[in-house]
Amino acid sequence: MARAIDLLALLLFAGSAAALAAGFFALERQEDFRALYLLAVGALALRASTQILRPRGG
Amino acid sequence: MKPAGEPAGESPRSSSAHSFRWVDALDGGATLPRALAAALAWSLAVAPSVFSRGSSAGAKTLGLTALLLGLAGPFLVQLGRTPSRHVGVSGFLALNVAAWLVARQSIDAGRLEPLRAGLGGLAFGVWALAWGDVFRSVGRAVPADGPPLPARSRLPSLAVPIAAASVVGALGIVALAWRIADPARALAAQAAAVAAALALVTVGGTLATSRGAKRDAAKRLPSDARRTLALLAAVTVVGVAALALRGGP
Repeated sequence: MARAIDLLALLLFAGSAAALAAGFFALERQEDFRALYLLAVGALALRASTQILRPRGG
Repeated sequence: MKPAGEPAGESPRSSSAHSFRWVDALDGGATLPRALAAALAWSLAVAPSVFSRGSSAGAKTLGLTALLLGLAGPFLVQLGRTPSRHVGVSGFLALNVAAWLVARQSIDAGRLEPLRAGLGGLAFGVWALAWGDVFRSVGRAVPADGPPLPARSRLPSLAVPIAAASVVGALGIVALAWRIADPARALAAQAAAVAAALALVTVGGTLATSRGAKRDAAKRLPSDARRTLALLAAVTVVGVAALALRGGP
């Protein structure tokens, strides 16, 4: 189970990096709404990946 | 006993190591890299602005004074690290910002060349690193007697590749932000890219070092992580739906 949690954290981290990159691509194409959405998804995924491995107070 | 490689402290006049500190500062120490980095950053990012066509005498004066402080500050370490930092970091930055503000027409987003701006940003990054401890000489520390101390633990597998990938990803994010041509969006993108890059490096370091750690409740996800994952799922679904309604994802 611990290995699955590690894998989930890594997948979230990779997904967050991809979402952030896609957000900047969208900003380049002047698609502001999509850019904000992707950046928000990236930030949330990044936060979740940290919280999975290092819970608050743990 | 004070190690030979220890940096100059707050009372540099007090000890017999005075001559050593001069050697340390000028030969393999931190002073010359700091001064050179300040000159590099100034010449790439500030000089083209304050000496551009139409800039005022005030901008030139502020810029040249900033250069003087940036070059002199590192050498003031002989008077103590605090005055050295105030002159070499605070004074240098403050006068550079003042010079940019006086010559603000030269840093207008419409006139700014992306390549020059990028190189200037990189040079100021090197300058910031030079004021850290990376150039400090540590090779002359006296080795302790006895066998080397064993490490308390080992890094998890793939720690270095994960950390390296996070750094590469962070640099890629910053590079993507430079592709944005629209001035209004470019400014916001630069700020967002710096924040995203810092977050990627920080989280990458956490992932690299925390995987495989024993947890008290390893059989289930922490509650705050579950809340964030639920919020992520909700934002993803709502966003996809909103994008579909606006004309297709």
